[in-house]
Amino acid sequence: MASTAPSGMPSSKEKKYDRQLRLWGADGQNKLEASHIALFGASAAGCEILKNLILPGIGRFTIIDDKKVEESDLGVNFFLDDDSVGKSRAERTAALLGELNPDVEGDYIEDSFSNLVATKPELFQPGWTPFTHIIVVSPFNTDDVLKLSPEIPTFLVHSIGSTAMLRISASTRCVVDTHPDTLIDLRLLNPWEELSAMVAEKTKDLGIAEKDGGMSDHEHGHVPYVLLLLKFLEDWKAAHGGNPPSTYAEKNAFKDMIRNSMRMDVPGGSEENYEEAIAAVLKNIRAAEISSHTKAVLEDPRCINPTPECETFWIIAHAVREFMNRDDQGAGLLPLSGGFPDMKAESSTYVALQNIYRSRARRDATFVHENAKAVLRKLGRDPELITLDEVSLFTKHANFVRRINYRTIAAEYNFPPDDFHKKAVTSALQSYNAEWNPSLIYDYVALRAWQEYYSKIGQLPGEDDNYLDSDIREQMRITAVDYLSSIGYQSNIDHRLDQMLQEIIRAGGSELHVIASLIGGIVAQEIVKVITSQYVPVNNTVIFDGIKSRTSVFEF
Amino acid sequence: MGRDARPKKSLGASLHSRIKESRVLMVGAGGIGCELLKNLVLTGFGEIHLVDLDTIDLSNLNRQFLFGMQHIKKSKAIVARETAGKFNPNVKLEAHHANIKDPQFNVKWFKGFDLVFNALDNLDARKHVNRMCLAAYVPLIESGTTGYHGQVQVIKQGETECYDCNPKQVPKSFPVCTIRSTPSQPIHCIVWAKSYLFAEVFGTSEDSSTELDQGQNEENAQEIANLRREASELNSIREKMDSPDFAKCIFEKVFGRDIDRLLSMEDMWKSRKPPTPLDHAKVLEEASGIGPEVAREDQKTWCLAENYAVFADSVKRLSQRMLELKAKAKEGDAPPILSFDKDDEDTLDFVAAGANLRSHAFGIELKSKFDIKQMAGNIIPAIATTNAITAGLCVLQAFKVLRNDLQSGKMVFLAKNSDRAFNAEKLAPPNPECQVCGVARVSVEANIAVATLGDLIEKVVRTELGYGEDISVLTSQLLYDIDYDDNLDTPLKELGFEDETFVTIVDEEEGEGVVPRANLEIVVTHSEELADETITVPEKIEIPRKPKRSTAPEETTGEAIKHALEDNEDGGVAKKRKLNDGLTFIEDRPNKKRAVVPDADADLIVLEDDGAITID
Repeated sequence: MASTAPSGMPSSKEKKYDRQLRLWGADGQNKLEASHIALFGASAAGCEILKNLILPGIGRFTIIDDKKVEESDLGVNFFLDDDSVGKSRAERTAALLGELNPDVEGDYIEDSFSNLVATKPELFQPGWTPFTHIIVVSPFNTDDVLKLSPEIPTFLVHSIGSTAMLRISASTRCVVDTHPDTLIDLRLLNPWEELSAMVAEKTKDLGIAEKDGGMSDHEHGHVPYVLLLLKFLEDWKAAHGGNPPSTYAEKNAFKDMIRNSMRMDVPGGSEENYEEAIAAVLKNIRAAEISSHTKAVLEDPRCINPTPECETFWIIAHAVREFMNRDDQGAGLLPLSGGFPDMKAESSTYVALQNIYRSRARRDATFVHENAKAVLRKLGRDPELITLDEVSLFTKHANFVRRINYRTIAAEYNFPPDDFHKKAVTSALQSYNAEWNPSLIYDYVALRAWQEYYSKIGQLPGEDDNYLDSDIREQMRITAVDYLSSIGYQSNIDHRLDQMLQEIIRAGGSELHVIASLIGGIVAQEIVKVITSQYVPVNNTVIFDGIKSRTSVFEF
Repeated sequence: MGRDARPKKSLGASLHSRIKESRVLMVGAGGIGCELLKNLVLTGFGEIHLVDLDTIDLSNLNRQFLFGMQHIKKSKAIVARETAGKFNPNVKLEAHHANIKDPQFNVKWFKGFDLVFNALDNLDARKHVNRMCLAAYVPLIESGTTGYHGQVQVIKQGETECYDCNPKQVPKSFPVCTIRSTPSQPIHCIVWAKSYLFAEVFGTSEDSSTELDQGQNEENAQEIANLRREASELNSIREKMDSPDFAKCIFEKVFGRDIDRLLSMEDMWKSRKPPTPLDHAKVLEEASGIGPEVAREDQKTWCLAENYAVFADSVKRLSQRMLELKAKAKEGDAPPILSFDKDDEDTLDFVAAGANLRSHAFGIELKSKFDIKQMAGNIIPAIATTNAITAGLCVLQAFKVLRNDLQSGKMVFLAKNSDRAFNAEKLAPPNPECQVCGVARVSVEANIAVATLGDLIEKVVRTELGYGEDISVLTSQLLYDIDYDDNLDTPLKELGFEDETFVTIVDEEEGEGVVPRANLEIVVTHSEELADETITVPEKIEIPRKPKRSTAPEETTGEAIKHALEDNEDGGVAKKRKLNDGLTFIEDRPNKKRAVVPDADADLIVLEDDGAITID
């Protein structure tokens, strides 16, 4: 009975991860399982981040913390129980978090971030460190995080009262699979031979009534809208000196032109394929444009001059660049994505038309693949290093690829501040308005003052009841104003700054579980994006205000 | 510092004590539910009730962290209470492994809560809780996620939009004839393989199932009769289950003779591409040498021969299971059946291969098993991170509600866009034309075994509330209108009334200068204490007049289902777009394929809605 043996049983792991495999696929999952995440600081936020990474199945985690569990920890941290009080926080959280997923290996180190940075620098050195990604949760010293390598993806997290913040630092991320909303690209203004031939064949009797030997109502109502648009574009261009409709008024006139040749004496009074054609005019009748993100990739020095060591991303980008520059290949255009929409049509016509787009996309990808092989050979690398599949994924997303150059944490804390930082902060401050643009820029300034207070004094502002809140606030305000003057911003400091300072001092460094949980979701989401190299991660700071349920994203 | 010290410091003493005194209900203990329960417990909500009907499945464990392998097949509500309860001894937790639509959860019961959280996965239960909360005047925090998207909404009767103020996506449904005779998209063939072919061969036959509406009209009567005959022929093939030719018998019938018969109906193919019957001998020959292991390649789109190999092998596996079940069955037992389960590989293989073979015959694009699983099982991607963020936002909105600060309550949308993690907008006021919250409400008590419909209409509706002659009275069915007075002397109980029943009164008064009243919803509660036909009306209410232009169809009719489908196609999405103007990250429906506009008067198959996409 060999043939009745279970033949398609996926492993229980695949079943367990089914719902997320539909988001990032097997490739994303493999990358997740190859990761080793270090968490410095087993706070509530830290544990919530790890929870959200352990559940979908990272490979390993290590928790580093030198504190003992206090009773007040139990009120905010779900991964500590009554029995944990007095024991090592690293050990207890590692144990309880580890229970979430038997496929994930967990470990802990009873030590502090500061101490390890000073005594075990190899833990933070690219090439030596066992960690693929590092999470550091507040409170931490600014000097300590400045020692971290910008090469290792690092996630700095604050969760203080109702406020939370994430700062990402990493070497350049190159993302191909950005999951854009649509990959459809019809290239209506740049039809190629096969497409034009189909237009000619399928629309030749379009204007002729059935009684005069033209199309039946059925045939007429099933000409795919893409062919209709291409046909009417030809007519339009013939009447307009070879130019397509470009202004809004011209496009409206073009729509009228289509509408006028629709048959109205049919059931329903109009034809769906014509309606589809009209609806597609504004969006699709325009010159093929290269997105600013793709331009940034194609103009990056790593793309122009790939090296024997560079990532395959840059080799393929270079091959795409060559494709565009060559008249016998792209002739100025990006490779075609091959994405094709659903439309009213006969199945056979639809499939034939879809195939014209798909074959074109395949042709383009093959050119790029050949170019890539040539570059690999020239660089003395294995020409088979890059497969056609890898190239196809790139060419399919050619207009949506991303290169994110993360600014280093050192650059953000430079003194005096560099121009980029100055400009980022001052422009946000200048455009701040409590009514109509209440961005969280003052929250950033307040958190920076908080960070400096802790780094200098070694105590959380508001933590010790022996100090008057008003004294601390005054001190932090001076720090904040000093910082603002260092970036050249002195006037018009909004009331929001004082509000925020008061708010974070009142919290006294305490976490609120719900905020920790929420930022835990946000941070883990970004870490998953970075690990899987799918979707576009934040660049580089996100701040959350739990009172107004708002976020702001900045690049500092 | 004690356990409470940190939350108290951050929240402030007054909100903190209000939270400790509050009694809240959480409906649903799934993805959002697990996160939410953890948040509620650690935030210190005084008393938390949770209701969930579901049991734990392996595919839940990538996000529903209150559950482990040892809990599979156990009640979500009960296990969630046990796991979360350990983390705060000061919180009172009560779990109900039950359907929120059960009569025990009546309006009075809902009134006992300060706040209700919806953490549900289906439209029907969401609408039910929405309605109960409106009737009980309890604020509701509604939430949902799909993939990286999430949404949180605060709902309060009379103050904000309710869940039904905007049209929602309805579960997709297809006309019977599209599924059985004229498929044009992969989904049609998948529905066919799952709801028809699988059911007829291994499951409950269509004739004995309530899932299929067999209503008919003159136009399609003949085709429906043909289809019925076809189904019963297929059903009789079941008897050959122990024959080695079983797969061949099914194949020749459904991909051969049935398609020949469809082809003979020439009218049907005047405006469509006709299908091509599949030749068993030819396909069998092509498939020789293809082993059953091809079924494991679930990301690949199988060719015709590979689909045949999977089809034949899955028929063998399923038949074997059926025969074993039959052998075990005792005398007098109902004949055994199998039911489709997306996580049951044998049934999934059968449906995937069956759907693809049919697609092949009709010239429709074939799909991979992985994709078919998603479509047949209504699978929505789900991850821990989105649930964590969404549940956190629910609690933050709860703080506003407990502070009586709905002014700063928000409707929050979450998206994968990296320019901003999410966006909040002010809560919108109620839609005056909403058929759910835009109604007037009154509660009455009656002994439903004694009081008749006539008592309700005369004493309450006409005498107490001042309605005229021309009204319609409906529950899920029409009970009374001016031309239909058969039920007036019937006791309410015999009309299907239960302990608590919602009755809608529609004012049909017409004429010059007459503005009809807004619809009235009467909640009739049964009372044993009332010995006679008396009906008590606790409070006097003024019924407002209808706003102009208000002609939404009743929800329960077939007409409404069709209407909703059209909404789904155009109105639904377009409306939503407009609503979210400026929120550029709100994505199109994940399924970009157009919904089918039903053939006029065709019957509808309504698919189960456990996978309804509820956020968009």
